[in-house]
Amino acid sequence: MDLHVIVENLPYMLTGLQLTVILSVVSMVGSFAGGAAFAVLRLSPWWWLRWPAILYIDIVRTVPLIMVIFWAFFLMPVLTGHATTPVKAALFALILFNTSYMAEVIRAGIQSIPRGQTEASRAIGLTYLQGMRHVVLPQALRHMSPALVSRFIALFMGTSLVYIIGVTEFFRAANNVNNRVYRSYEIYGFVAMVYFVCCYALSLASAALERRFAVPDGGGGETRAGGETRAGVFDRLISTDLRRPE
Amino acid sequence: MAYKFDWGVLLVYRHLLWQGLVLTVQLSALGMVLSLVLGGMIGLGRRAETTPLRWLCGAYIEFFRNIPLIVQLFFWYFAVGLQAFPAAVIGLTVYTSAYIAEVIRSGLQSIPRTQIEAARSFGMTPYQVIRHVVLPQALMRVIPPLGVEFINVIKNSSIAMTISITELTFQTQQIESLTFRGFEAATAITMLYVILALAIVLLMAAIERLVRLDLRVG
Repeated sequence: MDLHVIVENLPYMLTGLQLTVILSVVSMVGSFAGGAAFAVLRLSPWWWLRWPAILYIDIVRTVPLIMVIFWAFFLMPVLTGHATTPVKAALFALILFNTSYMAEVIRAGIQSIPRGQTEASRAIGLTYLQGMRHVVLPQALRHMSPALVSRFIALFMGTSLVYIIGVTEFFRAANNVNNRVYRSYEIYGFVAMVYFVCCYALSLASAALERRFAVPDGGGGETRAGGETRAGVFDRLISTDLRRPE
Repeated sequence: MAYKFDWGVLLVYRHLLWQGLVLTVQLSALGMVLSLVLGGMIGLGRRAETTPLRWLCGAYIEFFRNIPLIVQLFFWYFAVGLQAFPAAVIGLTVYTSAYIAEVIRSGLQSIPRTQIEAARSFGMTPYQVIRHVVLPQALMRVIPPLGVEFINVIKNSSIAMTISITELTFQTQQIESLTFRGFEAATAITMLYVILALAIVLLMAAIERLVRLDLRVG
């Protein structure tokens, strides 16, 4: 064991970690927007909007992230005729990939709110968008929050894969150090520890959110038949791969 | 669009596609079976009577679930110094087993304790309780999420390309660098992944039907 190597190269690796965090946050924001759009399309009453959305969501979720990164980096430039930078391609791929998962999380969130509430908000004179903004989304967001944190963890771990197209995020930075000093045990052990600490802390936050919202909500302790809380409805609607997945 | 398609390269390099497919299937199948066994044991361990065992299994799950697979593969390959294929199998198995253990645990947890107590008070032995009360119900709840994990194994096996396993995703890059026909290769291989995932969906549906029939009879 030679921890000296770690200490010496810490500033360099931390720059990589910084990029990892930026990539995760930006692609989380991007895929939230994309996911919301696809969730709405998927719930659309018109089949010509619904079917393309379902096709996109289900196909992208069966393809490995590495393949999506390849598409973004090697193939898009061929099609569009514009060269792209690795960081841009990485962001594009991460957003493209995570949008399909986020769409499902958001769809389950919207569907966990009883239809009666949308109808009631229309009845008291709110427009469709106002009803969404003030009635449905605030509640749906609370149900979704643990799943959103899980998706963020998946993204955070997923950013390690953009190493293959030469983005110097944390994992690649660590690899660069290892190629120079050749201390595989120390370096990869350290990398594993950093990822573990970050992701485990986030998963504790996710669990805390889940406990927080496990109580029947709606003020009056409104539950559905069988005592199922609305957060429980969300859990049933969401397919299992969204809780923690790749 | 200036790009001219040439799907013929797929025919010319079909041996690469085939080699990649075989490796992906081999790696995934091994990963599925081994991680089901390992994950099953750890999931059961999560429900064990002894506290240290429960804690140990919990630590295993949290540890391997929260480190990216690529880091784990590099650790087995570069730090431990295993051969590429064993490193890929071990990495994939250890990583997936943590997820499968959670699936098994939540399947077991979904059966109310009162049912087990009721069955015990009928005079059923612990074995009978497991065989006739716990297992049939748990199995039905575990099959759909297991299918998801199996599809994840196929997807995750692509990461083995980073430690020089020449599976499907590796071949995309290979054909691209040989012919500059990355687009055609990537299309074909993306479709192969979709087909593999579909095969898992159909397989799990068949298993679910079998189990359901079996339960109704027995």
